[in-house]
Amino acid sequence: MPEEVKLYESPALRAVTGPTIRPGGLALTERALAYCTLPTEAAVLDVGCGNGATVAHLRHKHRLKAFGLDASGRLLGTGRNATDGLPLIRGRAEALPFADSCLAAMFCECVLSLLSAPQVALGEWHRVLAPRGYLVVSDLYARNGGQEETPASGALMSCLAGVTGCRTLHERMRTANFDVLLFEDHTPLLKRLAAQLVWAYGSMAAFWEAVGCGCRDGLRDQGGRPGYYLMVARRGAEERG
Amino acid sequence: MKSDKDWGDELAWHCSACDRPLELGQVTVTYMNNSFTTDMPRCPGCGRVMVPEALALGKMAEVEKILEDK
Amino acid sequence: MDQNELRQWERRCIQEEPPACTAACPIHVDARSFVGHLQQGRWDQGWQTLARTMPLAGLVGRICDGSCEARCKRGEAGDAIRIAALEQACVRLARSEYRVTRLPGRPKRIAVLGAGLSSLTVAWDLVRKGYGVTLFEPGDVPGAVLCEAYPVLTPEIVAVELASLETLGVAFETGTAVHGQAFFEDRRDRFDAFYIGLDAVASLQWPLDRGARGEVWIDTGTQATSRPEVFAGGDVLSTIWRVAQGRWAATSMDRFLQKVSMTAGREREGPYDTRLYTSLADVVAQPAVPMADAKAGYSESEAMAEASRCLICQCLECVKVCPYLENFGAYPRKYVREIYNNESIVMGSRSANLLINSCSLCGLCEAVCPEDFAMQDLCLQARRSMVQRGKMPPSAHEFALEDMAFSLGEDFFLARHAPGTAESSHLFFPGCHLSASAPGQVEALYTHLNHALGGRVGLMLGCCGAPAFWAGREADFDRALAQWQHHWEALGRPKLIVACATCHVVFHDHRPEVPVQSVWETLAEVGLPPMETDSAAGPLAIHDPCTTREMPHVQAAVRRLLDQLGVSISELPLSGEKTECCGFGGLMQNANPDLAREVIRRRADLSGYDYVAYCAMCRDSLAAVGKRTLHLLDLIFPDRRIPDPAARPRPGWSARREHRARLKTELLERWWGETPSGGPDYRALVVKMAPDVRERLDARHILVEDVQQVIARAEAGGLKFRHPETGRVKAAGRPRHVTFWVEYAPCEAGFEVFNAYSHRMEVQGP
Repeated sequence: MPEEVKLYESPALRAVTGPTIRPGGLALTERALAYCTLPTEAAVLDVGCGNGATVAHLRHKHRLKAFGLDASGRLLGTGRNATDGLPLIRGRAEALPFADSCLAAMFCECVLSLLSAPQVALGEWHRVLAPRGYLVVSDLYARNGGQEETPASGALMSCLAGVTGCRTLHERMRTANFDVLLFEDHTPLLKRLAAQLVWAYGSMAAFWEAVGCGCRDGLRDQGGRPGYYLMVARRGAEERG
Repeated sequence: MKSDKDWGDELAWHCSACDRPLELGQVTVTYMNNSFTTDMPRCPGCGRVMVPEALALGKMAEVEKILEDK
Repeated sequence: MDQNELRQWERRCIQEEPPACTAACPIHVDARSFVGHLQQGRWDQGWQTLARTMPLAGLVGRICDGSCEARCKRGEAGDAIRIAALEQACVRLARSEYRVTRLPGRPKRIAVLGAGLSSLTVAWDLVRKGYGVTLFEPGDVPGAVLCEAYPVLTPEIVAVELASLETLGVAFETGTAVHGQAFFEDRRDRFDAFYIGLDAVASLQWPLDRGARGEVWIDTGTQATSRPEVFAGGDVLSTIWRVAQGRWAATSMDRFLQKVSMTAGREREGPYDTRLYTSLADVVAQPAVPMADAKAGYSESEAMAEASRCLICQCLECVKVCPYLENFGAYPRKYVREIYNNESIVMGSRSANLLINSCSLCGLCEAVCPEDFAMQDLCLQARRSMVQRGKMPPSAHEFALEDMAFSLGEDFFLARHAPGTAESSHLFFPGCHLSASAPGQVEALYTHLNHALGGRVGLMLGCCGAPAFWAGREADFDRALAQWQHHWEALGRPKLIVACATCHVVFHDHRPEVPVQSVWETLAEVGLPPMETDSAAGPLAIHDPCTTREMPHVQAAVRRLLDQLGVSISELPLSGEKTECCGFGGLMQNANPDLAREVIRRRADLSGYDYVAYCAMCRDSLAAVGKRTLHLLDLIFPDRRIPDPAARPRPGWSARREHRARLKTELLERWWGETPSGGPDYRALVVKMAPDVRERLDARHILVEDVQQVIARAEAGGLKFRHPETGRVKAAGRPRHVTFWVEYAPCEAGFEVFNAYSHRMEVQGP
């Protein structure tokens, strides 16, 4: 069986985005931090930390006690090499090696749509967040209201497979006992990244070839163009029953 | 990305004002609040830029479409 | 568009309405999909389709009496599809296994009396919903009553079906006397609801209200009796109606036990008339496929042949006639939803933008739709909304709007009384594209009108604003019409004569106070100019412009004129009220050039005859795909210099500008003795180019005047690049929102242009 091509692990993408492998780089992280106002030394977790660029930023620029977790050994490897002493752990978002209610905030940027069991993950995140802890999520979403769920398909394992609509996202948060404080569309950042990819590789088709999945325009396969959002949610004050 | 020999045609042009052959240089282009840089033939003397046809009709057009689509 | 409007729009498109068979079936089996599977010999899938709706399909499918057949549309062209016979064949030929799931158990207990069709249906439905069901059979063998009633059901078949019920969890109790009142009293505490299958249980003595003839009173539809927890049904002759009443009873019992509304949402239970329309045009009457062995039923091949007669009823009337609606792969009801989502979400999706901007706004869909769905109204409304919210992509209509601005500007706009007069009885408004395509004909027509109408026909050259209207730019449209109106009033509000059907519609719809007549009607009244009776061209196929759709009097006048000219006419398949757009309408050519090309190619291929059109844009669009097309004016004002007018190519965009500008300057000079102020100097520049270069520039929407401007600026000391070997020059200029690059070289007469291209991005730097 051919090895799954993971878009986010591809050097072709990283060549354009830089170390923070997502639309907008650190822009939305900064926006969320401005919104949340966390105390210094607060314990926070970056889920899907990759090489740890965000963790480093949170530690050095914002003086937070930031940890990183990622399932991808490949990316973690580059992070550990690049910046020593970063607390980066290999693990899965659905089973966090943290105690109950121990985190002030979690950052899950460009991660949720990659998970095969997002609702399970949300439940886990609820567990490890302290009451009234913040959950910062940024990701792709389906702007075409009619197509709420897109089935994961093919060998292309990427953010594109699990893209859902705004309604589903809010329902999932509700089911997991999170209150959504902020939901903003930031599609221009996605467009900018798409434009930069086209610019760097000459065309969208050339980019997909460089990633290694032939001439598939994954974006178009979703039947409408996806958008990008930033969501800040808060874990309910009550203890998990 | 293009290799030097692909640029052969474009670099044969001279800047009229300085009468110097064009060289590849980093050029920034903007559209709808986004900017992009790439190598383009430019005059080493006065810095005037010549946008090649392949670029204009190729990735410039594709990016313009992406950014315009609202 | 709000939710209410959305629903109204969606309701108008009937494509998703059920076919007549499904609507007529008391339990709404999807007979269309079922027969569709059988057409391909997909017995298992056909079986699953039946089993999705029919309870115990292995039983019911064998004995269904097919009351749907009476409403089958095929029956209007030969014999109805033998749906019942096909069901029987399918049960025989398919691997008929039930894929049934049972919901998690509910604590309520149901008693079902009798093992007739209606009771079995109740048991089937309620056990699957998780209820505890006990079926009481008065006799010793459940199912014996079925075998008696329906000889085709052998005890083996019935046993298999009943075993399925058992597997699902239905408990069977046999040998119980159910009809006595004691039975009811004994079990009232142990069961929460009862169903009495009157098709299986006789002489009931339960304490229930009765009718005049002693039959149990039942509320038809809910199947309720006078006791809230007791339901009954099945006392009908038709098999499928017995099943239906069982089904309705099961629904009622479920609602009763959940204490929710007994009636909400049940309006479409039972047979009803569907709103779906299916055309029978081109359907040849066919008899049903006969059975070689009537006892055995349809063989495999016979069943497939009979199934193939099914029309697979759809509406899709509009999609059948419109390449645009076909192109997006769905139908209006789905498109409404896409357009609504495009609006209501903060940022729309690309596919809906293109959908909205590709419609020609021609109204053919409305003309053929049984419910008058008007896609053009929907798209125009959406465009206006996009413009208002700043979401309209600029490139969708920009070129056309710039062309309109040219027509409204100094280079073309003109408003005068007839030469030598100070008042006008009439005003001739030829429109921008006739002037752009055949300025000589504008002159000839204007001259003739003055002769025929007493010499006080004024002339206005300009644009009616239609491009802005189509683009959803209401402010620009109002401005264009205001300009027109200002000059019309200054000329004394004369009677308007238009040569363009689009202008005609604009004035008719937006300036009803202006008396307007089509020039074709005028000519039909005042007569044609004298001419040598030529050997009549023809037969010609006549193409009506889409904007004459609701003006049959104009279409009739044109045909009278052609008759006068001795031309025999062939009508195209979609003609008159059902005419098709040439692809220019709604700015389709601008927003979706590929689709527009497809549209005009299809139009051109409808007939082998040469065409005759009476709109300059239609004529040129047809000519652009190589279709030999005359303009009506080619016949009225033949030009000896053009021996074969049907082969005249479409003038490109640059030529269209030049024609208009020259028409104004020449008329002003010759007729009104005015020398117009010279245009910008760069227009005087002589540029030459090879035909393939000219075509390339036209396709890229690069006008000669853009090229002239770039070269003029470059030669006057602007940015230039030179190729030392070829001696060619390359220069750029950005007059508006686009940067044009031109490759050229000086030549004897002026400048020869070798290439030009453009981009919107701006280069930063020196």
